[in-house]
Amino acid sequence: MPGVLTTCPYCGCGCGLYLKVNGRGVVGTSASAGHPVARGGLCARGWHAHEIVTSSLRLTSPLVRRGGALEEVGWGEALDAVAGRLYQIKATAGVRAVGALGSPRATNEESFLLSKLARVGFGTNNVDFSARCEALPQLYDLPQYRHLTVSSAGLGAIEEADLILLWQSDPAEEHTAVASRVMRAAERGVPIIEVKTRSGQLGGVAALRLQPFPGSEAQLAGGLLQAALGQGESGRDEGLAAAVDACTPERTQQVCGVPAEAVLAAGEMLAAARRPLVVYGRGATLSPDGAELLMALAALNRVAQSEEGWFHLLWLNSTCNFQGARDMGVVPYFLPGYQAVSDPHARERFQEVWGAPIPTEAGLPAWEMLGKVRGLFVMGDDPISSSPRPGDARKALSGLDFLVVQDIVMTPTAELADVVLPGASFAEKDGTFTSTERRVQRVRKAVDPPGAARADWEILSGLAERLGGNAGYGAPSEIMDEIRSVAPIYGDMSYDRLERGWGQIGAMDGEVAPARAVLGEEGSHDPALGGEAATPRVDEEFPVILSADYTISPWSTDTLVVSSLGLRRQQAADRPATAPRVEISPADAQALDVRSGQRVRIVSRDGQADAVAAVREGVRQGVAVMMAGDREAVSGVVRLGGARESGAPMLWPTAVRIEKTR
Amino acid sequence: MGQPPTHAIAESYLAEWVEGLLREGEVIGPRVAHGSDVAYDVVTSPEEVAWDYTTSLTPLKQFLFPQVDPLLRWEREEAGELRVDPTVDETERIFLAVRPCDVSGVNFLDRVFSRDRQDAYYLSRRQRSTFIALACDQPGENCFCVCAHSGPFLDAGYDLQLTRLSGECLVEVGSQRGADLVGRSNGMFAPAPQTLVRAREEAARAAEERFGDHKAYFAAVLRTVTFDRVPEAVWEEMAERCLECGGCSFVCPTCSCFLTADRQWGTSGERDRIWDSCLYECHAREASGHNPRAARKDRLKARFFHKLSHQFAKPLETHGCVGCGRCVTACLGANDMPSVTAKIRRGAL
Repeated sequence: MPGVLTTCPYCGCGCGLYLKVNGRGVVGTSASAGHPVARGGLCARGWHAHEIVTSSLRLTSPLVRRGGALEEVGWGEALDAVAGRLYQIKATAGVRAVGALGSPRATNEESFLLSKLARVGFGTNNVDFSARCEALPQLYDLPQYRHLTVSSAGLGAIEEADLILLWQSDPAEEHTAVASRVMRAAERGVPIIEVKTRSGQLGGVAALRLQPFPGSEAQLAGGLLQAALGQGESGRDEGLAAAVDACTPERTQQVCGVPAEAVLAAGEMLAAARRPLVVYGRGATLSPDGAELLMALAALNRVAQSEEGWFHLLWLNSTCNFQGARDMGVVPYFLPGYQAVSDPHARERFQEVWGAPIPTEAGLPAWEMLGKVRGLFVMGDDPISSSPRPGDARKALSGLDFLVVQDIVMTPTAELADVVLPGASFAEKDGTFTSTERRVQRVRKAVDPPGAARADWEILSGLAERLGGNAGYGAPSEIMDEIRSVAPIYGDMSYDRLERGWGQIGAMDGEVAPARAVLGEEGSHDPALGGEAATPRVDEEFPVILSADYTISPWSTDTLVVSSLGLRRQQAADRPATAPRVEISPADAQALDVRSGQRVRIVSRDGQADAVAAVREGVRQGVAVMMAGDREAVSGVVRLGGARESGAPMLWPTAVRIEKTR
Repeated sequence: MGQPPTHAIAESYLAEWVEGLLREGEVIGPRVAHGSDVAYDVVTSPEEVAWDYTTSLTPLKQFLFPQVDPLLRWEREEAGELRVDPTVDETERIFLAVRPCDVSGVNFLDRVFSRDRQDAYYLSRRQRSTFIALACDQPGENCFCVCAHSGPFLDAGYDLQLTRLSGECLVEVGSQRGADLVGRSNGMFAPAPQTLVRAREEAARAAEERFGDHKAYFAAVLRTVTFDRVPEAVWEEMAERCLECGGCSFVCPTCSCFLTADRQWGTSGERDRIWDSCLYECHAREASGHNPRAARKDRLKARFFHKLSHQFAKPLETHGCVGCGRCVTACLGANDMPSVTAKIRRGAL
């Protein structure tokens, strides 16, 4: 049973684990004790990581749609069909009619090849992945803000910090290695401030819990900044003071529902901190004011009396290679290594290596591609399961002239495809993932893919041979060598080097210093703090604020989890399709005369949804919370807006009323 | 029978002896996995054995009670007949240089899997297994086998026990199977001189001393748990620090919870037994949806009641912990055995 050291395919923490292999294949998982992230532990996803490999739901043959049904075909036929149809669409409708969606779970090597295939083979910059909207794409256009969704430190910062601010994130649910470290910090007496509308497990160890109204988070951050500035002794920061001038404790109490004394107490703690750390993920960014909020969080740098600039933002990537997909240019306006497609020098460099001109026009983001392109190549993405509007995504995908899906199990998106290509799971291929702390580490092949399934880099190479672009890679290490030659931030990441130790922490994007504060600086793009919060107005008809929370059972709808034999039970993903759940506070439950388990109807100006009530301590009064993963129900009742600035689809907090039903 | 028969083998013969073992069956021993990680693994040549290790990542149960264990395969044949084939593992295995705590863990599982019914899958493997323990002279930082009377040297429960003593290796025979194994390796073993036997006693004493202060006091905690004298607040505090990863169950040499689940491919399928953890919310959930242990603190209570009450310790002959220390490494919160026993002692009513 030789164990194969590899990297966990679930969240962005990047735990090292061993796959146990015997004559029957992959039969188990164990944690690596020496690995600096895992340190001998794993979360439930990690301990069950082997299950997806042997899932009976795995795709094992290429499929082509004939007369409405998907039929098994050989690889040659499937790849010819893909190349032929995409070429045809390109020839008749132009390069903007073709696009590619990648995946935050694909390896760096695969993401790089997809990025290259789109640019060279398809001739378009239409290449993106759905989940990228979690990383505030609007900020990516502004180099000085790009670092706000890249961690400025490793997980070790949690052990060095003397104050930890958890911002609308629930690591106990999503990033367990982070939660473990935060818990231990609390045991050592490090104060934790939890800012979360629906308090999570770590709220139990927090010194201070702030529960803002949904949509008022940026305003609360402004309030904390002003409160902390009031404590500062290092001279007045005029720019910052002006930016948060309106955010008085009284106004913050009124707008956010957080008591003024708590705002002042938090401000005092922040001002006194020598090594403050802010931990946040998509719970912070997937809000209408995510951009403003992040700028305000970065500005905390300027109110803390920190030691030699010790201030860190720990951004939690939601999936194992979210970071790498961005690094590899699965972004419509960046080539690998954050080199802008608009930069002629960058295009020239890539043209030299890739042997073809790079399209100059920025591509469409994922959420705009649906509905605008005619032919779509999807590698591991699943817009129907990740879009806040699953119905719209389904409609757009159904209307395509040609849809190709490369995946390891049949996803809702793959069910609509004209061609389905069976890929390899993380255990069946070599490659690298880049974790949330930018640790680039190896993914190692333990077994062959099932049936006719193939490693995704081989599939992409097969397409590149047909559509143009030098392919002919013998192994993923050769792809990494090409990455190193064109993307300086990966220049050091040779497989030889990654083989030693436990991977390598990558460089920051060269253009930006980590955690540079921008708020109120000259020439910066100031957020509208003190302006109107995105919190909906409540009235007699709609007295409750409904929020869709991404941190509730976030894994229960994950494709890999749902397809895993034991894990699906553990994550409650195996329950029969019951009504979605809505959490309400004990006080509201009493007023409504509702108990846990009773059916209720949630009614808003935009629609309604039926749900089962769950009375929960930790939900603030006047607020109801649904699990964002209950997408159909949530999209039926919640206001679907765009994020301010980017227009990325977003679930806005919505005023509702809750009715008892029979 | 008095003192177990003892032999001596020169360290320089060990490689040759391992060569011989490789011809007898599948040899499982400590191997360097990556960096400082050592794992019990299939050994294919003598130089792969990491003799100087402290502890392995996982215990031996994965070889007797695998994380995923096929119980039967079925196939719907063309005539519509259903063919069901049980899957029984009949591999002969020799566990070489495994730690006493882990052998104690297997002895515990033997009782679990044969107490009220005979588990054919476990016992088929168990009956074809030979355990060659390697006495422990260097405790790891989390080890506490001395508190659990499962090491660092074994008194019984092994087939052979090796003690490495400056160039020589003392071999204690603990079973007929062990005696036969020595007997088949002609010429490599000699009767152990008394000096070597005395050196082993001295090494055992020195090893125990190296453990220092006890990390867990089981006797007192067993009384407290058995008579339910643990305040709710103690369980609640533990519940706040449990992230429901299941790691403690998976790395524990004595944990044996499982569930069965089916996988199907068209007209054939497999029924698997897979490891479960009593800390998972779904562990006690009933088909109706009702969950008698919906609250995390109740699951923790159930776990430690199983491990630390006389209700279980009596039929299973001892409490459910061998002191290997792996839960200390695996626990993401603070609910490893030494922490829990300390909390229970501190908080006892």
